[in-house]
Order: sequence, then structure tokens, then C-alpha cells
Amino acid sequence: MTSTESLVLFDRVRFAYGDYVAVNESSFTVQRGTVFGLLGTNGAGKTTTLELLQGFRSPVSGSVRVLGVDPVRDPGRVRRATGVMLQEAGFFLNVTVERTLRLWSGLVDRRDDVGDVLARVGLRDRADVPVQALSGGERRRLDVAVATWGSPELIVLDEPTTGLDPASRRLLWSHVRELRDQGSTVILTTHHLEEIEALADTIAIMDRGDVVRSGPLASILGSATASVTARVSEQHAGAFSASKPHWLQVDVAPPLRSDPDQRWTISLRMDRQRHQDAVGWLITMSSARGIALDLLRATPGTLEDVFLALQDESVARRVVEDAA
Amino acid sequence: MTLQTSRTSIGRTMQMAAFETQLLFCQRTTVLSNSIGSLVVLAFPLLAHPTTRTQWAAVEAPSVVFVVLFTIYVTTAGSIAARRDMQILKRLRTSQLRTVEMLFALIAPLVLVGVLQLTVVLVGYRLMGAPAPSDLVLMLGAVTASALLAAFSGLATGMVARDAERVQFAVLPLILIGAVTANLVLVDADASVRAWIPLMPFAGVADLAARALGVSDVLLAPDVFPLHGAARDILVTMAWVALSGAVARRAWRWEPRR
Repeated sequence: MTSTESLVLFDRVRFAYGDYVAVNESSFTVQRGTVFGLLGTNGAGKTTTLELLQGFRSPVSGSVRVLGVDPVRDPGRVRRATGVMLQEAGFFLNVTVERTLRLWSGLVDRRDDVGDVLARVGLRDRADVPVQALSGGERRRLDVAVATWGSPELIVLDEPTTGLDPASRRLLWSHVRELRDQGSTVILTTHHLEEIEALADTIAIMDRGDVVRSGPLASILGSATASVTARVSEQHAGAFSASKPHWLQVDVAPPLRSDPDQRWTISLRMDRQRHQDAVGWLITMSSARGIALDLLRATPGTLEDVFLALQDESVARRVVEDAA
Repeated sequence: MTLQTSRTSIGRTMQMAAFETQLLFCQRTTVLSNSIGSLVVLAFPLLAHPTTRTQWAAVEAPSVVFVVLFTIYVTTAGSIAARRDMQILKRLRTSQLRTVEMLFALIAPLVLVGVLQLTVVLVGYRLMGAPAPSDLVLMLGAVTASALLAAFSGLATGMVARDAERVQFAVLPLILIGAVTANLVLVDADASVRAWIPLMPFAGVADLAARALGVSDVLLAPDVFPLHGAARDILVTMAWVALSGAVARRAWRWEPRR
């Protein structure tokens, strides 16, 4: 197997709960040795997608292939190679952390060392504590320990950092990178978009069961619109529109009545790669003409911008569909 | 990257079963309440003063049903509902254990404890003067069939119950039906009642136990069913096992009902 081989193939997969279509003709691939981010609002179909790829559910149509096999027909092959962290799953509460991992080691074929795993997730000093005495964040870390036990070929993490403090989140991030570097493939869902930006190589964005955008993170971020805003006096508000370069969109907004300074807002929008140029142009323009800039703010296009723009498109599409 | 061990499916199941057994014996309250509940039947001969083989059968046959109901049926229903509500089933589903292995690991220790208690009760009766079973194979059949039915019906009840707390109410109908019909097996009741008794859950195993003690001549309406004797008892019991399995499968949930 080569590093560019698809470990997960989702081909026009459809799944419905009765009349409710949870996954609608969705397609995407996950390459071996990468981190794949699955994004979407609540109810977008992310968890159902993960359940389909673990073979917990059968698609109505389309095909799912994990490690080259159908996970419903050959669940043994998939589970042997997959570590899963669900959004919610329980532990035996009166059993210690160490005993929990020892039990897990007997239920999967992958080998690992309890001490090493506990150290990796920052629970070494909690080894003898019953699970019921752990905090929510510590239990989440135990979840991670179970899912990553024995560095599986495929690791599925469903909202892994929910309930974690910032330090634990960073620890998990570095653990995920480490696992990827060792050759594991990680599928990650989260509501924290900065987490996807920090970890994912490729992503898919889901909306109401549809994969509305997928591909390498860099190319998706490249399509994001960046912005620069500043405030100027009324007499200079029109100066920027007149001489703007073609790649820049300039909007001017009057001050709010409540604004004691009565300053106008200049908003520049551009492709993400032109962001630096736009900041330079604005500063050069304003200093050449003696214009005082107030509250200059530069925002590079983020995944959040892409995500929100797709959501706006989706809302607009639904309005049109409803009207029709 | 991944280091693999060649653990077999049986190895994983045994590992889980050993863990469940350990867990069961750590829950002292459960062990104690189950033991007291089932060992109470040892007091029956002290109240009934049985002397003949038939009188002893009337005590022993229902006792077999009582013990499996309290040790296996009730605990299986409670355990499976608790595992579901605590989302343990959901967790185990992500391991390499298959569903049937998971259930075997959960139920096997409960059945083992139940059969041990039943053995204690039967040996206790023998020490109190009960006659030895005239057909040991039939007695083993009665014990096995009753344990199987108790486990499967426990699974069904646990899955049907809305949550673990409501299991204590959900088990009551079958406990009542089992207890009453097991007692009616050796009672000379009205013919219309006797016609239906063999169809009830646990009546078959009580009948088998009675046959094992050599009192089959007093049992049931022989002309109502095409099959007679032990074959009919086993067939009816297996039908209840199959029905319980189907109900458990139909009501199966990996997560708590919200």
C-alpha cells in the first residue's frame, strides 16, 4: 500500500432514518496517513457518516469502503484496524483507569503499553483512580487513550476536544500529529474550526446530509475571502473607491448614530492571497493623502469564513427551493 | 506502526467474561440479595413438611423456577439495561468483540452463579430428606433449559424496559407468571386451566424437573397436545427462548432511550 492510497472511500452514499435523509449521495475519500476533518452544523450528518464507515449502519445506496472492504460485510477487518472515540460512550465507573485500559488491551488485537498510553494522554498519575472519580476532561482523555490504543491504522475521533481545557486540547493536537506522523489515518469531527485548521490535511464540509465542499484544506482556505477594515472621517470616505486596484472590492458605510466620533467604515475584501497587498495598499494610500486611519483591522480568510459563506449559500438555496 | 497480537475470538470473550465475573463479585449487594432471594426456598420444606416423592416434587420443581428467576432472569435484565444506559454496550461495540460474544461474556457469569445456587438448593433439599432424582439427565435438562430461558427472557425484558430503574417493574409479570405456573404444574386444577399451563413460560422446566423426580404420571392434560412428556416440555421452553431472543433483537438498542 502506498501513502497516497485511499483508506476510506465514500461513493454516493445515501442513508435515511425513515423519511429523514441524514446522508444524501455523499462522496469523499480519505488518504492513508492524513488527518481528515469532517465539518458541519449539528444534524449535518457527521455522526451518521462515521457510523456508516464503521459498519454500524448500512447505506440505502452507494458504497462505503474502509481499508478496501465493506465495513458491514467485513466488520472484523475494519474493527481490528480502527480505534474509535465516540461523542458519548461509557466506562465501568467503579473500575480504575489502569484496569480499564488493561481490559481494553484484551478486547483488541493491537499491542501497547498501559504506562506509555497513560503518559501520552496525561493520566499517568490517575492510573489507580476509579473512572467515576475522574473529571469530565479526564474521562475524555481516557476516551482518547482507548481510541488510540496500539496506534490503529484508522482513528475516528468524534468531537474529541469537547469538554477539554486549552492545555489538554493542545496535548491532544500534538498526539494526533504524532499518530499521523507514525502512519495512522485520522478522521476528526469538531465544531472548533481552528482545530481543523491546525490539524487537517483534507476536509469535507457537510450540510443537511450533503457534502457541499471537500478537498485539501489549503485549496479550500485559498477560496476564502479576506478582509481589511478601517475608519476614516467623512471627507475621506470616498477617496479609496476611486483609485482601488481591480482585485479589491471596497465598501463604504456611514457611521452609526450612536458613534460619538461619526467615523465612516471602509471595508476592503479580497482573495486570501492578496491580503498582505491590500493592507500595504491601504496604508500607502492613506499616508500619501494624509488620511488618518482609525481602528485598522485585518482578517485573513479563515475556515470559519468559508463555513459561514457555505451556510449562507445553503440558506439562500433553501429559500429558493421553498419558494418554488 | 501497529503491533498486532493474535488473540482469538474465544480469548477476547473469555477475557471479558472474566472481567464481568470479577465485577459481579465486587458488587456485594447484588450477590447478597441474589443469594438470600434464592436461598429462601430452602425454607419451603420446613413449612410444607413433604414426605412422599410427589410432595417433594411439588416443592422442588417450582424451586428450580424461583431460583433461576431471581438469580439469572432478574440480574440479566438489570445488567443489560444498566450496560445500555451507561453506554457500555456502545463502547464495547467499538472493540473487536462481536455482539454475541459481548452478551455471552455478560450472561455466562450470571448463569454460573445461578446454577451454583440451584445446586446448593437441590443439595440442601437432599440433605433435608428429599429423594434423589430418578432421572439425572432430565434434571440436568431442566436446569439447563431453565437457565437458558431465564437468560434470554432477561435480555428481552432488559431491552424492552425504558431504563435500568424500571427493570424492577418490568420483571414482575414474568416472575408472577413463572411462579404461578410452576406451582400449578403439580396441582390437580380444572381441565381448562391444565390445558393451557404447559404453554406458559417456565411451566415446561418445572414439569421437566418433576419428571426428573419421577412424578410425571400426575402431570398435565396429555390429550390436548400432539407431543407429550419431556419432548413437549423442551419444545415449549425452546419456543419461549426463541421468542425472547426475537423480542430482544427487535428491541435492541446500543444507547439509552432519551
